[in-house]
Amino acid sequence: MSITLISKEGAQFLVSKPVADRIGVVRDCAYGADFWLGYAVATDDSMGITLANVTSSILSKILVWCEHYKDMEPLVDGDSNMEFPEWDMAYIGHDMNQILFVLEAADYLHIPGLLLLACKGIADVLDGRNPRGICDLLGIVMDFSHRQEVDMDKENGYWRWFLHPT
Amino acid sequence: MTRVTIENLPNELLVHILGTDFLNVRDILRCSRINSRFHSIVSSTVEIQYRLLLLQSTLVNNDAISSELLPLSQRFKMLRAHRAAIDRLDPTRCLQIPVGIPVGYVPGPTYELVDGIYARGIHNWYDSFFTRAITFVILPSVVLNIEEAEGWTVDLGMTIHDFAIEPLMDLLVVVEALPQHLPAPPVFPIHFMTMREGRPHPDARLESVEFTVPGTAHMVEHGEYLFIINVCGDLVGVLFRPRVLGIAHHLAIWNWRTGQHIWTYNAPPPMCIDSFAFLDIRHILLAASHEPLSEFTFDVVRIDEEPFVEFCFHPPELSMGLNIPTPILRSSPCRVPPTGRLIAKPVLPPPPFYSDPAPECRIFSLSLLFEYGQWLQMRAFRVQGRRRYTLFAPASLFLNPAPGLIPSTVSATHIPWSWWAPRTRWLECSTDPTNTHVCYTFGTRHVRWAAPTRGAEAQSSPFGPSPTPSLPPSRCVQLLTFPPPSLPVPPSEYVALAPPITSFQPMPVFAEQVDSELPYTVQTAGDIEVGLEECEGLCVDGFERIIGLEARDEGDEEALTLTVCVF
Repeated sequence: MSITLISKEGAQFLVSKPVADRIGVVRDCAYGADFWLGYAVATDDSMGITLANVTSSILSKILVWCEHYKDMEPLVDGDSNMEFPEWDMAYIGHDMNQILFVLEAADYLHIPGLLLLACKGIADVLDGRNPRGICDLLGIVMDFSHRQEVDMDKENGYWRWFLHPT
Repeated sequence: MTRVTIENLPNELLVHILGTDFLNVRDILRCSRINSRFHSIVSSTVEIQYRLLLLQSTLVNNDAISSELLPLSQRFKMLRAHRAAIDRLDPTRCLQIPVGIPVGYVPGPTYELVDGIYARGIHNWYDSFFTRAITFVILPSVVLNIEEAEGWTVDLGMTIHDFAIEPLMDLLVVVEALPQHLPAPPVFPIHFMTMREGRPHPDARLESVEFTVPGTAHMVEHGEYLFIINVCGDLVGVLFRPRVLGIAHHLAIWNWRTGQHIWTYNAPPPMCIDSFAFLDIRHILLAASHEPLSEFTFDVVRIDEEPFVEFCFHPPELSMGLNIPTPILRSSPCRVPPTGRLIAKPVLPPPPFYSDPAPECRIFSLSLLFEYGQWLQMRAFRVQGRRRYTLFAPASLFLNPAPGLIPSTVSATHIPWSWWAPRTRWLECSTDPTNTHVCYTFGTRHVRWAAPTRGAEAQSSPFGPSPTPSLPPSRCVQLLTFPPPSLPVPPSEYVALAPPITSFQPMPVFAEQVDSELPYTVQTAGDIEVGLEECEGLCVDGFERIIGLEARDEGDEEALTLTVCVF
């Protein structure tokens, strides 16, 4: 049994059931209906599921992840000590733009494991950078006045022990 | 492909990114400085704020309670109220709790206070001074939602010297007082029981283990030994410390669950072991003196398969006219969960958050007494003045004093005073009342009685002139908070020891200091105001309570009440 997914551009992707199962939205669409209506709506090949917010390039990237995890359980709950498998880290990479696309799509498609991996990817990119560095990297404009910065320094008085250890 | 920036993302996704555990606190704080949107997200997200506040309080969230049962927002509210109360030393409740002692019994000299459970050894009024039963009181708690104190008494069915409790494992360790039959050496059976019923502990394979004092054939008097019992996970350590000179000190460690004897350290006179504490499940810290007599060291002993001294922390090199008796060692207890499952249930319900057990967050206090005077004919020392300092150091300093330094397995690595003293915090405690049984330090907080200090306190070194005896000033409760655990030492500092210091200038450096001049007073049933300042001892327990011990009601000598301030 397979399902057709249609990207934003209209490209069609034929995926098998275990792969599609990883995508929450598709699972709900295809099989959830079974529960409510008594018959499955989208199990028929001819009908596709349109994913209007996901471009073809990102969808194909996400399907790589789904393909990899079709038989395994991905991590869905992480703490700072948890190590992702090497494959995951290589998959997510260090390209911030790419990670953000994956993150957005994973959120839209309800893929908790991939969402967590994307967060880990972002955390790794941000790790050890100072605010100005992050702004440059992400193209964000700092909108604090000098006054506000001084206030924040005061407000976080305690945290100076963490930020600037003696 | 169009470019997404992080700014286009909806707030929920940003919260998700910032709220995962992958970003450490420093990165979260940095992100909050990016722009006002990130700042408002960080400061208005309960999960993130809860994490920051936990870290600031050196607490950890109890993941064993699911967030459906107790949402993080509720925990955050609870923690914030608790912090606000303790930071201003403004208790939520102050109350007097009578310790319910059964008729015919009187309180004895032994007591324990762990996790808000007060245990008092009691004995028959007509009987000897040996403890026969123990009365327990669970003190009220805001965090655990315990409104009323609850008490019970356990009859041990034997006489004991001393006991220790560990509510996490419902464990009561007692040292039995057996009559000695000469010429046999004295034997001390150590029993592992439950706190609730006083029965043999279901998780201990052996009901009791025995310690036979080696090489002693004399009659051991009552009170000849002082017992220090510490529990850490599966390990129980008992220090047999004689009160008189010329008798050997013994420290014995067992695994209470298997009954396996792990280590015994005998210190024949003139050596002595003053106290010991568990640093973690593999290391203990000993305050022991060696030859020559005046020289003591703090020894870190590894008690794995083949116990050996890993590090020796040396005292300052003494100048003429200065003497340091063996110091007193107090520790925030090393509380680790037992390995594997227990049949016994914890005595208290699980807290929503608890003190961080990381070695950086467990502060040990070492009480050093500097005596200065004159050496008479190179032997006797005539004391002219004394000054007491309390030195605070996290367990991590003893476990890993110089990062990158690999401890030798054949001989102890010696750590000179000039290296480790500057890495500790100091407090002058010459005027503090010394109650050797009470631990004032818990986690990274230290509570003490003190004279109210306004502005800088004049500091003088112990090498200076002797202090003029002053009248005891009106006392206040002082709460000192240590700076958060420092970050890993950069590699440039590895092994390269700090330059030796020639003069010792104690510099107390604390992140926060709160004085509370309010003596907390409570109305008793007879409309008498009882204040903390009337109590004999002061105790900080868990992170929640300050307890005044043994405030006795006038007229009733036998009654025992605790003055408890819950935060």
